[in-house]
Amino acid sequence: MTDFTRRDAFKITAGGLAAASGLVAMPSILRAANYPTRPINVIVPFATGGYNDRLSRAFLTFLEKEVGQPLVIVNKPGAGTQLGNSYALNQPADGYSILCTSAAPYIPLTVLLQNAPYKVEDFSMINLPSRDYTLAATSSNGPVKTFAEVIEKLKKDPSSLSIGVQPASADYANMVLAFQAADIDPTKLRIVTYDGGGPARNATAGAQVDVGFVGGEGFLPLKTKIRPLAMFAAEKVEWYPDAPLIGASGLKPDFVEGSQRGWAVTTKLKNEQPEIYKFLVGAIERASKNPAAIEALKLQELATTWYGPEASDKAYLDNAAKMAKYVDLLK
Amino acid sequence: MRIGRQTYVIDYGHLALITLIAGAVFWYLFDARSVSLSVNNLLLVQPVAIFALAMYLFILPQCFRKVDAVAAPRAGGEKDPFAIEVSTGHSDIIRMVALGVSLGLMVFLLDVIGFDIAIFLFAAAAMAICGERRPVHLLVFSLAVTLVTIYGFRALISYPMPTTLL
Amino acid sequence: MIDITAFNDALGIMFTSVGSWGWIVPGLIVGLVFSAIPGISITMAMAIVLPMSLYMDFFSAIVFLTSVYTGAGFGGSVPAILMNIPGSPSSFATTFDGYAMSQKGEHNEALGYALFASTLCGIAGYLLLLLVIEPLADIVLRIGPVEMFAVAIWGMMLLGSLGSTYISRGLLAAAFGILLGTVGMNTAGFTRGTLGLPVLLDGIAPIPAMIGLLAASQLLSLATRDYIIEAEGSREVSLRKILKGCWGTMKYPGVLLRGSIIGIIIGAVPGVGSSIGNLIAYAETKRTAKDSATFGKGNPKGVIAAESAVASGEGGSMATMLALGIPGGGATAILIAAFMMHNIVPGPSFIETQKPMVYAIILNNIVQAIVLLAVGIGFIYVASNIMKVRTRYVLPAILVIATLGTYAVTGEAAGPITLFVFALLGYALNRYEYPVSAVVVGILLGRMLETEFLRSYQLSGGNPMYILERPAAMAIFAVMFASLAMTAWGKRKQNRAEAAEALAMERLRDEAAANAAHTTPSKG
Repeated sequence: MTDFTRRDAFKITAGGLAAASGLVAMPSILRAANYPTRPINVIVPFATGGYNDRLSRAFLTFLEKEVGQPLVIVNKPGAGTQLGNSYALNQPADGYSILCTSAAPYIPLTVLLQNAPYKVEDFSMINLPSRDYTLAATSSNGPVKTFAEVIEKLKKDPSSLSIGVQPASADYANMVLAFQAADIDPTKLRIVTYDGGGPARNATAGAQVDVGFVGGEGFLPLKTKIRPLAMFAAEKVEWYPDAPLIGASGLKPDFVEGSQRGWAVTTKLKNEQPEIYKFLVGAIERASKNPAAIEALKLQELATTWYGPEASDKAYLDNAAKMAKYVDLLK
Repeated sequence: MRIGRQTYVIDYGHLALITLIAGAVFWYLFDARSVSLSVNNLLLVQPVAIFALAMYLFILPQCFRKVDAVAAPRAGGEKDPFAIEVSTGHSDIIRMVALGVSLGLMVFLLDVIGFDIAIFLFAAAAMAICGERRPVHLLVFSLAVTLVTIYGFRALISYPMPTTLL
Repeated sequence: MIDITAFNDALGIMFTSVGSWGWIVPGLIVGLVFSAIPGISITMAMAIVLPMSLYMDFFSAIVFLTSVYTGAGFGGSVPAILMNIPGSPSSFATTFDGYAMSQKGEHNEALGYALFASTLCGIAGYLLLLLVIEPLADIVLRIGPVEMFAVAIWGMMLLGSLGSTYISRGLLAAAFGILLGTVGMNTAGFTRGTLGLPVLLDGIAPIPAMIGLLAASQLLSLATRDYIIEAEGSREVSLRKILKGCWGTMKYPGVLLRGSIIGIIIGAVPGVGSSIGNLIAYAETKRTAKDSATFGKGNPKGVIAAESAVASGEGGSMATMLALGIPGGGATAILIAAFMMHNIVPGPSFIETQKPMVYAIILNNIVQAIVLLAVGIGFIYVASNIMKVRTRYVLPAILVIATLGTYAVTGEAAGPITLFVFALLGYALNRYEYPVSAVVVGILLGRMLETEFLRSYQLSGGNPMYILERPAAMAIFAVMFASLAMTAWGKRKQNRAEAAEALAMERLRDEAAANAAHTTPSKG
């Protein structure tokens, strides 16, 4: 047992070195040839009922067809995905555990703010179909009508409106960036902190806070109770077309993309078991493009778009880089 | 212990318990303050911690009792209705401590020797502590507990339970 | 108010899908059994069966899951009453009088009281829901941090009814519990007291800690006994006595009503669930009762109050879920997931467009509560037989199950280790007459207290006058203080009356002693 982990540790330090991959090339082909022979665990670092949990369960039947083995969902919630991420990294790199997670911004955030004992690059994305954006919103019968009005009021008196937001999140970074662009001192604002998107959304819809900055997708069931003010996205968002973009308010702040959710594996698996990795990529691609899957997931308001590993990895790493750039805003 | 003319008896167990609690509270307050002095961090924690430390100072004298007061029968005040009567006989205490120790051993050995072996050993030990001496009963019932709980919980939860034999 | 045409359509749905009724009994049994296992909460029971429901049609799936929910709402009180282990925080207050009753050999009656209180108030909760689902949803969204903070304080009032010998020790225990409850990352993102352990970032797992604290004081001391109840005659399992308890519940309509109202309102608030309603209902019932001194010593009203709030809380929680698509607690989060998996998104538009379906779901819940009466009696009859088993068999099995149950909470050894550490703490606290319950209350409410207090502070910008803008919060505080003042007044009168009576008794006794030696003073 100890011998095994020591060898693993060596492999990690060796990283993508040709020597290391050469060493394990033979057994990996042998193992890949009859992979998979038993059920595959899907690690979801969130509790049952959340977006990733629903995504994994809805996608399950279609992915099972492609891999030819049953999939077992393992919910490992806690510590802003850090527990689930560590758990995934501790599993042997044999292709029998894959992740369904909000990779960005959670993995970068656990590294930047919680000193998680892994690196952003320890995870490799296969496909991140769900792209969320921060939405600034107010209660549907609230007095504020536009984001420009919010800026105007706060410029006069930074404590005139209360702001609901989750600390140490992409939403928080976007809020600070927007107010900085408008020359409003964020430290003077009345900021109310929520430990999750759900409570922050409820507070916004119930007019307990005047403006909420939260991931927009979760607002969809409460659409009739809120008025969207500004979506922090570059172009119109497909699932919420009537939400005005932040650019329309007259501000041109830099912003961070919201949650990017989908399928990932450990980089160790990608490097050591290229055959298995290729198999998994193929299976997820075919399942994502399956018309039946697209239809079923659309009905549940879940995303299936196939971006592929390169585009997904790039989006994930870009997000991580931006988070690292603005990490001081979050502390 | 003598202070002046008065002899005191120290309740070391009680003293240790509240000092441990006060130590933990003090450390927690210190830890929280070292993270940030912001109101957002200390709003509730600081006053409650200070309150707890004040209570510690208030209770502290109760650990020292005058000897003649000890000799006098304890006043029959109202008993805490929620406190469960803990038996105080000597052999009873040994049994409870033994059971507590075996529980601790099981908890810490679950991952080390496997859930199956840890549960089996604990079940047998607990039965023996409760007075079961017949070897066949000990073996059969412990085995039954192990099998039922391991397979039952495997079916219930998706987390892996490392086992050695099962 | 109720929409008659939609109601008629709902009856139509109910009777055209009679096939789905078949899922009620299996669902109830699954809920009862799982939640009777210490550590397995309602949420977990539902998470376990969620994948199963994917293969059913929509109405059957919802019937099955809500049946599990209904059954699980009661199941937790069985170990709470028989063994002083609350399966989940929502049955914590049930242990106070339930376990005391069962120690007196009245476990049959206690379970009967709990079952009827649970089902009657469950039905009441759903009936009310049928009438006010839409307005309730709007009110719920308006409940802000100040109101929630008031509710949390109200929950802490339970401490006043714990009646420890030493007030100072009770206060230290409660303060320590609150601090334990705030360990980890707070709502503003500050991390304290984790010792660098990632598992503690989300705080100390409350269920293992609670079981540990209570189990140490109870389960370990069972090792010294041969049976859970010493007296041989009281170990019987009697259907007649269970029914007597069931029937006896009807004698306390006031307790049932108060419990239901508290339960529904608190259950409807998102994120609170039923874990605090039972504490408030218990404390209020005890405070207003004439015989409050017997609470905690096996007063059936204590059991009824606690259970009624838990059961009616389910209705409140369901209202929030259906009307807003917001989970009131973990269990309703899973129900929402189940809805979504059948391509239905609960929320305002669902209520508007599918009102018959909403009514059908509520009606079906009422049917489930009625069926639970029968299934529940059978279940407690079977479960009570544990009283007849020698501790040498029960104790090892229960301790193993509790350990694995806490493992199921966390998915790693952290759960069992928490159980053990808190068992040691619980033993020491009990040994030196500290109320263990005060620590449990602190752990259960500490996080909520901090979160809501902090948000109130942030929202008001530190200005205490902000409370004047929150009439609901003022109302809660007013009701709380009025209730406190009234009991204090009542207690004073009662004490005076008692003192006068004692004086009279003494005089009588003196006279009796003076008169003759053969007259024995009557007991007061």
